[in-house]
Amino acid sequence: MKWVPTLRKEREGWGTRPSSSGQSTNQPLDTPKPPPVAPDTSTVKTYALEFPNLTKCTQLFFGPNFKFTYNNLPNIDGTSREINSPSYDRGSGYGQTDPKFVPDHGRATIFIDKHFWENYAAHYGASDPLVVTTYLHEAANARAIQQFTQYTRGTRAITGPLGRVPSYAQNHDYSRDNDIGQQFGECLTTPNWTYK
Amino acid sequence: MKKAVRLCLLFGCLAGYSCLDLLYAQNRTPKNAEVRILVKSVEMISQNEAHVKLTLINESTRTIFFTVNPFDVNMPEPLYLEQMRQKEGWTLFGPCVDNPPAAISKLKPGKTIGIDDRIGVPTISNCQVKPQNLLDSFRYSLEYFESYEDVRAYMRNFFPSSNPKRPHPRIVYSESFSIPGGWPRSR
Repeated sequence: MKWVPTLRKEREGWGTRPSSSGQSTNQPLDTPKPPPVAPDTSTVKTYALEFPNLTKCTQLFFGPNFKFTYNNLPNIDGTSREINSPSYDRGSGYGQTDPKFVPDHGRATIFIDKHFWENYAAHYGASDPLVVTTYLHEAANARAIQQFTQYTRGTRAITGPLGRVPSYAQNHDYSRDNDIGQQFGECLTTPNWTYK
Repeated sequence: MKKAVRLCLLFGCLAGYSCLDLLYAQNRTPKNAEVRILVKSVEMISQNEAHVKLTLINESTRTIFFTVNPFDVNMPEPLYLEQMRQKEGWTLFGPCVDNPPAAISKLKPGKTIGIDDRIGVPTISNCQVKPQNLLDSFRYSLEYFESYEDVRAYMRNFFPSSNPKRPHPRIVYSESFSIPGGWPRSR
């Protein structure tokens, strides 16, 4: 079943492409449409905080003392990196967590592929589940780097929930992404998910 | 005279055969054949998941270095998987590396390591290209270096991918393999 955010019900037009003038989008057919605009990062965060199972999965992965809020969710950089660059086509994803941009405390910055952000996210909007889950995937990686300080920095994002040693299934995840963000994303999107 | 012609023909044929054999061998042998990935076994473990056992062999005269999972040093990371597609040819679909590799392992000359991997479809990862089936041929590829300094520099400069300070690795491809009883059973 496709996830429908509650905000969409409350605010008509939320998550759809707004008109440049902010007025009705019922334009005559012969009027060229303005190009889609990349979503506002704060809107993506708003939808991220509304994502089903977020509270439950956050507790499972980061313990009862932490919850994602608007103030601690990472910033989004969707314009500076071509993650799916033609010069580097080996395993291109939509998002990236660069530990250099994750401070020990405070707000991190995660990267979203420039083309994905400026095309897909612009077209489908901030409420699109792929946009939101990609963001939350990287947000979980960034949080793990800040929280699981018992490991070296480079190791923290590939631990299991609560910083435990990852299971064999996680280390050999058949989706081919064995980081905590992948497990977190599976928790968010899979009914009755359990860590294996 | 006839004997000379026959001898010439015989040598010509032998030389031609040798050239053809050499060409054939060159096409079949990866460029860096000194380091090899052998596919030991492929086994379906569920309807849409296969278990693959590999052996990484260093037949070169130098120690090689590669990045691994710090929690499982026998698991090279990233270990890329490619699928042969009718239109696109060999298509890499993962892993989509969104964290830099965190640990280094080495393999001395003449040594081998066993690698366990799993392949499954459909995936729900954030990769942009996803495998659609387990029917076509697959192969693995691994990036490695011949010096510790290079692999360290590779890890330090892993992001962004266009970073000019990131050293170029050597790449070894496994032999291609198919998955018996791959999913879905019929197209």
